[in-house]
Amino acid sequence: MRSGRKVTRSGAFGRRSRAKAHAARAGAKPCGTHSAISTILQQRPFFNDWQISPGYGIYAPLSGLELKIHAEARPFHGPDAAKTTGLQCRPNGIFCKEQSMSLSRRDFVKLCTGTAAGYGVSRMFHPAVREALAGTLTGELPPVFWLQGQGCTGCSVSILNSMHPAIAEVLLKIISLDFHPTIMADEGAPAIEFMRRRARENDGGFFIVVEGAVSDLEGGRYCVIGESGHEEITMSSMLKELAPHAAAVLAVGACAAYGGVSAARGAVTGAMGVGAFFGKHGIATPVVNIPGCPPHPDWMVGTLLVALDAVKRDGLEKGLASVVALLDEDGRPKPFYGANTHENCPYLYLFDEGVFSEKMTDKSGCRYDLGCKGPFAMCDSPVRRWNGRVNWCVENAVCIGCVQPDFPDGQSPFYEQR
Amino acid sequence: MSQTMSIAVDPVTRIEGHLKAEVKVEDGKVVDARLTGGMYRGFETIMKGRDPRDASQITQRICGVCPVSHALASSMALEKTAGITVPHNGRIARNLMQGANYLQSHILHFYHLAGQDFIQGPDASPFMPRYAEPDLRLDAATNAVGVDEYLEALNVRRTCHEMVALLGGRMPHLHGILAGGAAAIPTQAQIRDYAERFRVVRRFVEEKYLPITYLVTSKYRDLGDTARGYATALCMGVFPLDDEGGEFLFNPGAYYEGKDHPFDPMKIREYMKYSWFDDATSGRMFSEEETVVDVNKAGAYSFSKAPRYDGHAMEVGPHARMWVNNTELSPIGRKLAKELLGVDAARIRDLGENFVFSIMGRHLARAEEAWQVVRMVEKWLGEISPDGETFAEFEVPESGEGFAFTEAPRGCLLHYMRVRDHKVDNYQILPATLWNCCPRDDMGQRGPVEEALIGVPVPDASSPVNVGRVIRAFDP
Repeated sequence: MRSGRKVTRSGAFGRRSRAKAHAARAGAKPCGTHSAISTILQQRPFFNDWQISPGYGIYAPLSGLELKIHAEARPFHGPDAAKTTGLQCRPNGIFCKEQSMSLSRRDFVKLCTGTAAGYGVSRMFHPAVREALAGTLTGELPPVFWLQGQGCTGCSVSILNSMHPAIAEVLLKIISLDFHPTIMADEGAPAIEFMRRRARENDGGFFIVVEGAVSDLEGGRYCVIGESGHEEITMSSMLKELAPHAAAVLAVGACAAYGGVSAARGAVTGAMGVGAFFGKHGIATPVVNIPGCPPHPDWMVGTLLVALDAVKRDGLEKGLASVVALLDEDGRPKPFYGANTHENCPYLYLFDEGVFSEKMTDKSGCRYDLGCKGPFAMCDSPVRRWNGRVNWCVENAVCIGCVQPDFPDGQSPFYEQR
Repeated sequence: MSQTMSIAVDPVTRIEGHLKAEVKVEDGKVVDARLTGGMYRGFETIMKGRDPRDASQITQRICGVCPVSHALASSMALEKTAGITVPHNGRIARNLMQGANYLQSHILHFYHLAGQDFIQGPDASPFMPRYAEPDLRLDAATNAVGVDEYLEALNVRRTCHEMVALLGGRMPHLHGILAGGAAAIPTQAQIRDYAERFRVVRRFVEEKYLPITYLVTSKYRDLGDTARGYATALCMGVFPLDDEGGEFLFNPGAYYEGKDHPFDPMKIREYMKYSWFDDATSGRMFSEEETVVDVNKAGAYSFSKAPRYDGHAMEVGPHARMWVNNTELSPIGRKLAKELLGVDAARIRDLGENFVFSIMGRHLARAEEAWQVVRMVEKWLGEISPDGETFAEFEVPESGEGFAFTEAPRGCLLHYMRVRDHKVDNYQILPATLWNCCPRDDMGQRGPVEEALIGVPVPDASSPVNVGRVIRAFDP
């Protein structure tokens, strides 16, 4: 059922410079790689757990195997296929060349510092990486305080979905999560005082994760996070108290990074992102933005692991500097947010061919005309996929641009192209 | 000699959102209570002027645990406004997404949020520190089972999210539910993958979640007789079983003053005397309401409004849905009720009003509801089709209004939308936590959880463990 409308499109993206490159490409003959990928997509679920990699190869996410495909590539069947092709048989029936599974510590360091351009970020959770990391984290686990401002707890729920490493491993072996309102046993003033004590004991050596936006209007009273000694503690006062002593702050989710839905048009609470809040109050602690509404668990756990490892390896100052060097101009780690969503979209060839879906449930065309914001968004969701890699935003509907600093106002209406 | 003291618990943890509880304790028992919702964002004003279709995305951001329910309620409100009906296959797909998220939410709630009220975790963060006198009574073997299941439940709830994502794109904050139906027609492979994961979840609910809930209940028998509150119940209807929305898995209804009443949305009012909002529209219906925040209002103590039904403060959530419908218990539940609790019960009301409206009764009802959802997901899996349209195209009307009712895992959910010039002109949301955790109304009547706290034993003021237990039993 290929009911998508076929149009030749040039200059469809108007003034946007990134999109100009696309406009130039639109109408060009689709390359062989694109056709091969489309063949592979149509064969699903045969290739169920295979994904398209940024270099237009495909790889099996869990095993780290990678196969560059060419126009003539096709699956091989039959008992003799392995013999005739010299390729290895995977359980799902596809044959591929096994790449080196060993990722050395040096490779990992390269990955962290962004110089290993050839590696996909999926490798960050390679078993070898985890071993390397475990070696760096012997001794006491670094304290992490998770503070919730004006948000929905969606980022916390999302990080619970972490698979590689599993969230239980993160909680029990990698960090010491000394404050998290949604999962910690303790409550009330004792919980607040415990966090303060841990902060004093680890001055300069703890991490704060902020979920949700921060407001200092009305004395910060749009978000009260606790009480101790009959004193009301607002999100803004707690951040002002603890953040100057933290090694770094991870602003997870659209709200903490840039204000997000909490600061959208119509909001009256003065909600803002952590970076803006720090700027206003002269707090110099480095902030790493991990936007998304919510962020993918890999983006949060991955960034946390990279930061912890860098600090362990190079000490606080140098280690953090190497993490900051990974950030783009919007404060996001480039390994996760460095690629344009549209350019890595498996339906890009449909865009190039000028085939566009006109109805939400028609999946035979590119979703551009349905309002897809993929061309204006920067994340690796098309490659990484979501929730055990079973699906992702554009495969189901359209991208809503939730990783962008101007989400939601600049990215909506969500179901109209702008 | 009687002793009075005030205890403040802030933050109340292992819930969704920011909540403070203040209780007055006399002779070791709570005699008064106030709940404060401590965070405000203002979705009503944020929605104003937007494309009505964007409501399903924006309002999901109210709650990261139950975004599916907000997506549904906002979509249904616009569908009512536009006068369209969702295709049959779209309704089934929505039920499958909502069903999987119910299971995710209930499992997360029992094991990872409320669980530590009864089960002792390992001696490491985030399980430590805890109250000096945590009143944890399980024997070592049972406790070890509890910890194991805590870890297993992390995987099971993640699997539930995968089920939602298969049909809805991703979780939390799915793409798959929008005004008109479901965004994608599920493929055969997706239905198969959903079913495969569902078998794991089903086994967990039947073999782990239900049994341990009964087991824990049997070890904390006194908590099955604590926190009765008003013993009121409200259900607005969820999981439509026909395309016209006439029949639901949990049908709408209200229960108060010991009697059943049909659900009539016109009986809902919202009060704001004790809320940090301008009083001007206090006591009105949701469609005639304006939300104007006023954080300096004298006498107010919460960002939550106080909704009332026919003047009554209503409890909402699984126990309310089960009570209103007098739902039958699972076979394993019937067996365990007899063996562990010594009760012959075929339906929820056979367990008795005093038990169901208690700390343990509310937990037990939630587990039993998970089994009801499991039973129905099985049925819907037989009804979903890879060939049936799930989405009805429509034009956003120039003007109109519509409201929709559903039930989030934690209770009643109402969205109201008024459209003018193709844009949202007024948007009102009445979520579950407002019903349960609201402050007093204009007449001075406590909210349901405030009332449930009255009489609860707090023998040790430095370890007010029962206060959190009561609140968490409602899954706020």
